[in-house]
Amino acid sequence: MRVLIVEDETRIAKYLEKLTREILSYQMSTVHVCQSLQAGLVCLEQHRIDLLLLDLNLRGEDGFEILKKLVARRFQTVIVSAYKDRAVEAFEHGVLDFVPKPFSRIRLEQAFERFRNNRARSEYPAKFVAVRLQNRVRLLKLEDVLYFQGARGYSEVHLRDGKTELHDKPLTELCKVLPPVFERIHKSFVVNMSEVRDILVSSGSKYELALKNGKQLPIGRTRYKEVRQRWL
Amino acid sequence: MTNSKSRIIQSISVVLFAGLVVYLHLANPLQDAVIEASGLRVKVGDGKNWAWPDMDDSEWQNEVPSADTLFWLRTTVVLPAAAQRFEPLGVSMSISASYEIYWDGHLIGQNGRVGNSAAEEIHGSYSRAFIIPDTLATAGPHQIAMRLSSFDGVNTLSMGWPTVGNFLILTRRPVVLAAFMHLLAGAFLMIAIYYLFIYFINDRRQAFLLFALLCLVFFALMLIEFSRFYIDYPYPFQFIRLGIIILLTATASLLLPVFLMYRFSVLQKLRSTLALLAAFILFALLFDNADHSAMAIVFLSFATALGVSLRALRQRQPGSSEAFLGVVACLIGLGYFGVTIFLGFAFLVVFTLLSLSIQIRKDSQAHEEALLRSARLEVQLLKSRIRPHFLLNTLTSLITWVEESPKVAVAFIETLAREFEILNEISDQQEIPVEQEIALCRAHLDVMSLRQEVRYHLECDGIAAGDQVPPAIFHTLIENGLTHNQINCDEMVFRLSFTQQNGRKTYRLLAAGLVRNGTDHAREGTGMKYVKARLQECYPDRWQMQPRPTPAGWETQITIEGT
Repeated sequence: MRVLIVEDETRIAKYLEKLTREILSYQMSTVHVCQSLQAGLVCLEQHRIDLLLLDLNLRGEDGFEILKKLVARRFQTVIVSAYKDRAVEAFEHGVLDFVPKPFSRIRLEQAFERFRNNRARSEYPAKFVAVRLQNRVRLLKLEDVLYFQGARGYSEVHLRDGKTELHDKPLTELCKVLPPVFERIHKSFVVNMSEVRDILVSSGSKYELALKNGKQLPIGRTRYKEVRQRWL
Repeated sequence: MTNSKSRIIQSISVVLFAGLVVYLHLANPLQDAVIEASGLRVKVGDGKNWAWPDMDDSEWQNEVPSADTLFWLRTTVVLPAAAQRFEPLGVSMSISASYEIYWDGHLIGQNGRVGNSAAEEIHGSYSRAFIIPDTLATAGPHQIAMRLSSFDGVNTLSMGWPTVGNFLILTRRPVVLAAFMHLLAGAFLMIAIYYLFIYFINDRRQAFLLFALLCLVFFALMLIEFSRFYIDYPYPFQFIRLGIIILLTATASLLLPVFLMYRFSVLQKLRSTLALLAAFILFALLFDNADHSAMAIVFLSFATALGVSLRALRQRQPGSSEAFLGVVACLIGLGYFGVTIFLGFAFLVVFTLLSLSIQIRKDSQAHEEALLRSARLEVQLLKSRIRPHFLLNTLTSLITWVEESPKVAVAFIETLAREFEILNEISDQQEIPVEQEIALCRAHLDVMSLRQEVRYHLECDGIAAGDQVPPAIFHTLIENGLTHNQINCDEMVFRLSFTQQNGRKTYRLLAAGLVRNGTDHAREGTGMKYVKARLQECYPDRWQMQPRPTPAGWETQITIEGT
């Protein structure tokens, strides 16, 4: 597991690093520490990471502009910040967790647990999903999303208007921040259940989900029971 | 009061004033009731039959002699054929002499005792009215003859023409007028007292004192002008009375423009006042006639007042239109000195009251705003310490110390406590000694040193002990410097230096080695706004702040003028 810590306060950065190493001790892990956002962004160019621990209020620049770009990336982001009043906003952007300062070791462990547990969901669901376009990042409203389709480690975002965008995170990671209305019905599909019209059962135990726009998506054999239970 | 309301009051007042002036010009209070005598014949000396109508006075002169003698005066009055009268006729006059008065040769009254020398003479009253017996008041021409002596007058005789009319009207109407004018005078007196109180108790603005004095002078002027209708005084006093009136007029003439100068903050007020006074004295010496001097003084006064109010009007100073209208009202009123000048002044007073009350309201608003601003700045200062960025990051750092080195953690807590302690002491002050400010800065740097593991120092140079500065301004600038410090270093020095020259204080705060990029300082943070607001609060428009890059680092220079 590869972790990047971006924190401008030297002591807090060191402390975060120390706790991270202790918590993740049984896992193979690398920990990078950067004391400025710029250094952090450079580090992101050079290294593949899985989890970013980020102090949101980073020296006067608007944290949310940066955050938008970060949540569109492949890795998960956990905010470590004194600005607790902005936690909801951060969650809505799609961060995995928000650890308010001052924090305890237990609270930080929870954040890592959220990352490690694939069935875990963030405390407060995202409202947007960020997609990287050529030069910029666009925030798509989740209510406009019909379903996500996994594709070669990415997620295709299928929108109500028929368009398709690409999000960097794989489906498993994306699921952790999505609201409960999004259900993983298949290894490769996560569906906005408010857009579902019906469940179709065909011969040979073939299960399909019919969306309101007529589109039909397969339901994984192992997941059918759960989907049925929860949504019918 | 809004501007439009003030405009409405102004308009109404102007209409009211114009109406009154016209009315007073058309309707002399005694005009319809009296017949004036005509044809004046005078002869120095004394004669037994000089009172008789049939005596030939064709040789007599028609000029009043100099006062120092006994003389006779004859004049004619024609009574119209009247319906039956049940009210007595009378004759009234104001003359600075003792006299006997004869109607067609009959003695109808005596005022004092006429004499051949000052010792023989007993002073008569200045103003008197006498009843004409009914039997003598027939239609047609009648002769009024007077035997006078005026040994205690001034050279020229002061004389109001004898007028004949209904005795009740002759005696009552002037008193009614005097009553109304006294009413007005009473209003001036109350206003004078009110503004004296404001000046001495509340607000020591010279304009208020001058306004009070001006009202007081007008009160005195009206009292002395109109009291003659009901107070009998011996005729020599008339000259003292006129002297007092001229002096009061000159005083009012001086006070009016001077008041306007102070009210509208004309430069060189004192010098202008003295120049005006000098011109008045010059006029008094230049003309031998006191009335001419008074006239010149009054006109110079009004010219100055008009000039000052016009200048204020052009500069759009608040209250200038009211003052201008008031001065114009006075000027119009000047045409008829007796009543309208006082009415004109009454309008000036009303206009001035209007604009002063608007100003007092504005001042109190400004005062309240200043208090509010002060409170806001205090809140802002305290808030900056409990803002999560500072407080929670500090506490997080503290946790790290607790785990790593409890001793340092304790020191940390002490340092933090010191910063809060100083902050608590200074936050509600407008100015604090610079030493206290430096102590606050150092406490903050100690906290930050422990937090960021960078050795921060504040070096001071040439600081004047006890010099007062607004609270937390250098503290805020240092905090800004820390925020913008992008370089990773082990040590950072701030240097605060002070110089004082020609009443100008200069503080320079250097953040050594700090380089800031353009976009950074173009965007003004709340910290800079706080510093500026504090400086403006303490030194309104007398300060400058210039942040700039220097080879040694980022420097902020604060200059305070006029100390």
